[in-house]
Amino acid sequence: MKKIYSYAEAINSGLDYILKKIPNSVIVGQGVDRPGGVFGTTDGLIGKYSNKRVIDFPICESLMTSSAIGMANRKLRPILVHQRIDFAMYSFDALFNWIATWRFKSGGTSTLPLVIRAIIGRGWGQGPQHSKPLYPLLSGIPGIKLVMPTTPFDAKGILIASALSNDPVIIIEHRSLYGLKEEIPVDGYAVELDHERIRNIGEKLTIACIGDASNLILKIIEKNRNLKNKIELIDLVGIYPLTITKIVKSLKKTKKLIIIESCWDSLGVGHKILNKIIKECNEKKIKLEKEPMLIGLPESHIPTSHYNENQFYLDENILLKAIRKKL
Amino acid sequence: MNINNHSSLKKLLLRKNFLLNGLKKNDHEIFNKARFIREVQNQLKILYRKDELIKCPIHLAIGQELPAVILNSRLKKEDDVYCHHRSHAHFLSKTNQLNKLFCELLGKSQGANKGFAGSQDISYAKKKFYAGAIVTGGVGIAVGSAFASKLQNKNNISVAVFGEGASHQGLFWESINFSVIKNIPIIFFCENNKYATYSDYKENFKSESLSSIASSFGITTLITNTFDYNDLKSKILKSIAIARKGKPIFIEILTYRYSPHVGPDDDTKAGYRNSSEINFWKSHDLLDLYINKYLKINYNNKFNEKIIKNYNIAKKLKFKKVKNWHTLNFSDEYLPLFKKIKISKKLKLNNRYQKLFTPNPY
Repeated sequence: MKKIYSYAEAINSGLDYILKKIPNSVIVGQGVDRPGGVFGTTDGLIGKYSNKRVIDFPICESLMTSSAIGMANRKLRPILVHQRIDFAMYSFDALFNWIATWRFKSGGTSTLPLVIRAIIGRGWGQGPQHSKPLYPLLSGIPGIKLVMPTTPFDAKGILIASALSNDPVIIIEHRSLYGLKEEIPVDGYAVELDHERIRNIGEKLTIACIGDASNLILKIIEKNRNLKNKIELIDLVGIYPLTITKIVKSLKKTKKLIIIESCWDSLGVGHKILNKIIKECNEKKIKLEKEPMLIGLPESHIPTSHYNENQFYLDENILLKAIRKKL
Repeated sequence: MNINNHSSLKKLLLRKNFLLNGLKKNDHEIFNKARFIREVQNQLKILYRKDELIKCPIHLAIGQELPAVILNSRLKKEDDVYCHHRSHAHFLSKTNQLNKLFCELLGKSQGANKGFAGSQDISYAKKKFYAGAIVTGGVGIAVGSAFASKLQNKNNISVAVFGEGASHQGLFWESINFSVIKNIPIIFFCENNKYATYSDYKENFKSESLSSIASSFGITTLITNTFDYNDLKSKILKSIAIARKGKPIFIEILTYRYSPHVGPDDDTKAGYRNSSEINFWKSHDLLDLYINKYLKINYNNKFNEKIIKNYNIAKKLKFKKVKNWHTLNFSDEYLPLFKKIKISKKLKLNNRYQKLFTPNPY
């Protein structure tokens, strides 16, 4: 059975499924037990599963992440949420020194099954301390998987797969996507963590998106129907470890590439991914017709007011111009 | 006299010597185990420079052995210990795996962590022992472990073993506070050896004792020292009993390490202490006192043979080449809820684009 869910409702339904099917899973975070908790993603779970499974936590992110290690090591499967990725910065010690190294320094004898949701607070005036796109800091660290789903279908499937994973997984969610709706299965399902999601099939130009840009591209395609068969749109859901098989396969056909990243060029993972793509194209003797293009956010902090925020992010005009240039 | 820091303890020791009277069979076992651990460390100190084969930092805990042995004489197998980098005494007390320790220090695949962790990060999951080189991190982890025991209605306790240096971090006080508000079975096992690396407690805290700061959070505190055996033992056992009842407890053990902060060599040249200070505490050492009282003259150290034998076995083992770095860091395993993690490929292709910024109700 399928039903139309928003991105937030899809996560809520995923969490519900996890709590139902994995008896030792727990949800931990500030306000997860409140009505409408965490942008609606944890709404109603406390009533179904009690405060032993849905656990509110004081404002101490450092301890929250640390303690999740202890919980996971005691056979619980914690799913943490940091309401802003900016707050998760308090847990760098736990993330880099402990979670990332846990399996390695145990000599492969011990694993930490834990999930950390971190939210990028784009949308409606979140400002420089609530909406930084800091996900690249968490990418490429051996021992931690990083994923960034951008559709309700993937949000639910990735969340369930992460909860089933015996390795630590960080899920980056964009607050701006929470209202995005899609028809998805009501029952549980899982999506591979190192997944590339093809969102439009086209013949002339490959656009690979890291982060929330793919929805904007779809909007452009919707408005410019002549682009429908030209653009092959691929969402990189798995950021680390990274698979680029579908992008390379698509380039064999289109021979043109734009990478759009929801982060500053200076920090982002786009360059690394581009490097990897070029290397693989060379190996497979795929010759690109035009120089690949990388589009990131302006190298600045993000303004608070909604009106200024709109100036900051990539808009349809910028992207359409880039598409025309590369086609 | 209120003994709550090293100064007051020193004053007391200048006035009186603690005697080892009325020891029972169990006490002799504790002393023998502690003597064994000290001898392991004495030997490591020699072998480190003699062979130059242990190529990792070692933090010896000579002088700090008794708390670890007493603690582990009463812990259960299922109780978690998260330990600081000065791990050898606790590792040996909890796991009893001398060979795995030596192999680990020498980087051999037969080590507790296949030689990837070394001394300061050694763990042994089978026996629920985990050390880490960044000291306060383990305290927060122990809190999560104790919280999990409570959530699962299990009668296990978790022990966070740390030096007083760990208390400089915010995470430390977050941990104390959380354990109090959630009322969880954890022992904050503070081995206060006076120095956080090279800096004196007095330089870092205005408060006379760490326990008094901790107690202001509402946690029960006990304070003892490694120079008064009966008090040490009774307080450690009391702390275990309190945690076993499901409550958090902070025990501060005033102790002193005669060994350097790191490595085998004398570090008084770092200028943070002098040999007369070391000698003062050493002259009140309980293990020396025990040997003098019970083993008398012509003391023949029966442990050395076993220690050297174990070390030589470890030394002779071959190094193993790493075949796959990825699997060392990732298991890539899933709970078998779905037979195979799969995706439906076709599902998203006809993206019926819906309105992007539908207002979120929250």
